[in-house]
Amino acid sequence: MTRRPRSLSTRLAAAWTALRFRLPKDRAAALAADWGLLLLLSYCTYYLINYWYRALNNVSPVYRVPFPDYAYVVAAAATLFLAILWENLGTSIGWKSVGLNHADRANQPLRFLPRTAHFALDLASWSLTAIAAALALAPLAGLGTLLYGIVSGSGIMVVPSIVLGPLGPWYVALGWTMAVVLALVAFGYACWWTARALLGWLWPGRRGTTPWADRVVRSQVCKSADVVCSGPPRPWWRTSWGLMTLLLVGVGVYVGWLTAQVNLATLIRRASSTGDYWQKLVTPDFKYFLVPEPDLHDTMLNGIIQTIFMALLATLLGFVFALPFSFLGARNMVTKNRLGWGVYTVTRAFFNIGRSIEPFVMAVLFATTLGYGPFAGCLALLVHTVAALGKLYSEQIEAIDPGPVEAITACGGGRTQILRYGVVPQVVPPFLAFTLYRWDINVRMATIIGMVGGGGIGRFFNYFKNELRWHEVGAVIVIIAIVVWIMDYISGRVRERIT
Amino acid sequence: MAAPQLVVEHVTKVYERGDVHALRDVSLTVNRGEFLVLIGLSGSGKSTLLRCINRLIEPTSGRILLDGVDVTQAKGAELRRIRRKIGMVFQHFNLVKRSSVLRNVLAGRLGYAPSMPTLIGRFPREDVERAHQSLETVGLVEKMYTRADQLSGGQQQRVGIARALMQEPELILADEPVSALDPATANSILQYLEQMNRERGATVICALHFLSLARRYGTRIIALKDGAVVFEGLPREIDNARFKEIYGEDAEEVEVR
Repeated sequence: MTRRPRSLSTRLAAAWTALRFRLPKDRAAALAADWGLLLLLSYCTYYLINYWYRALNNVSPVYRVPFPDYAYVVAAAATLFLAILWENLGTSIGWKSVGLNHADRANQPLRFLPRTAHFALDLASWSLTAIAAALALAPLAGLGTLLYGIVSGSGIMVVPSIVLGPLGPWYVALGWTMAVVLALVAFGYACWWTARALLGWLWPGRRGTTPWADRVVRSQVCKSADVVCSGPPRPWWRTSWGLMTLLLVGVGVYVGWLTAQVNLATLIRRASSTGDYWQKLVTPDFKYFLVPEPDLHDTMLNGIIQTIFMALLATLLGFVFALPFSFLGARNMVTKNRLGWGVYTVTRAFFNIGRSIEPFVMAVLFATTLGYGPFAGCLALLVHTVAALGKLYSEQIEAIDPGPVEAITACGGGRTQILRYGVVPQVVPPFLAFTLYRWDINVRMATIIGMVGGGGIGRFFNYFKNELRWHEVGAVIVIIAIVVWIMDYISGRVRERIT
Repeated sequence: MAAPQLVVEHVTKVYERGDVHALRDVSLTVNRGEFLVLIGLSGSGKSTLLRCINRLIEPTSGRILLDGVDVTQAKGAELRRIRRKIGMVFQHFNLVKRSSVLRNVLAGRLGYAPSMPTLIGRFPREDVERAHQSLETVGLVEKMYTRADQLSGGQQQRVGIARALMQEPELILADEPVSALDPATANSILQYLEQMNRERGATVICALHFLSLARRYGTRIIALKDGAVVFEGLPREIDNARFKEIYGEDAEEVEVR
């Protein structure tokens, strides 16, 4: 076969390709290199556009220095160079995307599709991906703007008060708020759905659908019989859900960094100036471990014992209550009919809601209604424990081996007998393990709960902290650490034994 | 001749998910005291047929009569009474692995035992006595208090048989009872089934993979292919041509001794 006449750009591209692809043997590494380059190139291109703008307008907003005459030449040369790189990169990614080994490329004349076609396809894919990403982010931006508007007293939320005056009827304000929230939710759903659909079309989904660009390229390439078209599946980070995940994680980290007001400078600056405080903390004063503290009328030993038993009682009662509920929340136990599905949904909803309210918050509520003390703390722990254990138990029940259940059914066993002989023996050891683990967690939570009026050692912590008695605070921390460590160790050992 | 013990009439099973026809209009009769062997490729419907007989799987249409009683119409307590007459032996034994051998065997008696005491783990004295005898029959008395998962595969299957024995079954369904076992153990397990068949007069319907075992133990063979009966007859009637018909053109017969 005859080779095409090789142009300068082709030759440059070939040299570049050889340089780049000699090293990485496997496709994933090669693709990673490609995408890395793509990022770099994107930045260069962005810079180049900026440079063109400045060169053409002969302004430099940053440096306030007029551009030299040869700026045009530099810009033109850079553009040409970048164009070659872009074209080459697009081709390379295009070939690799359809599962062809780049190493074979030197031997394969490009008679199926021009390189630019590959590039165009890839560029189109990525542009649409960017649009999808923007769509996915739009509701977040909307929510942010809304919240900002509420805080700063501007934006859509204050429309009724502008129209009706600041003291308009409450139902108008409520209705308006709900309408705005509903609209935002609808908008968010629509955006999310569109983004999902777009990404699913562009990139291979979990169901193994072929992405659009690949379909186009393959339909061309596969006309020739001597090219093997079936490549390995794409790596997860180039599938629609992978991209979405990466995108959300990235946004999460960025937003989190801003929201948490991370300031490394403060961390370093303040660390050196608070030496006194740290020094007091690391020289704990255990005087009130056995001697009652005059203001609190109690010893720290009593405090920690109270904490441990608060946790123990909450765990044991939690076990008792969670046990029956867990069967109602296991799909394989109840979802035989409509009623069962209802029971399952309600139970699961209770588990999820119960777990999502922190015992810390519940302790505040219970302490307000029941009075400060370990009873309120214990109750708060109990609610959370029932929900958390219930969920763990249900999942364990859902994971049992169905064989024994089948066998007991075949023997003529009734419903309760199937539960007793087919299910229960399988789940008892993991249930015990979960319960012990929960006690462990509850001891840790109980220490914190004391700080908001739940009694126990947390009460001491809170008191000493408010009095700025850092030696005693240090002692409390040491006691908590030791107890938690011991509980952790014991429960770990016991769990090892029973499973 | 007496009325057949089991009559299966035009039974069809369609799995809704995937629209799979597991059984297509299967009809057969089984007489008391037979050792009927079901053969066929994996997915040919053997397991589904067995499970339809004791209603672990609901047939889509058709009738199944056991001693003249329609199994497919039975509900609640009546269904449990039918099930307790039918012993079942499973491919993967289906024992509760964390329970003792004795407890697993006693579970076979759940269809007979009063339900409230069994909930707190108490069985009538004669049931415990019967469990001893069953374990003696399969030679595992000394393993009575061992956890089931500490036994070998063959021993576990013997526990499964002892459990079926507890039901004093009139019919035993064995779903590939030896597929997970080595050839020597497989033979001994089938001998236990044969013993139950001959000495206690229990009818056995057994799904098997190896034709040599089917010839050795079966008094009659029924072959399924794609959910339909393709052969019914005596073991010696299966020649090479029949074999290829059942298992496909490329199949070679494997001997198991």
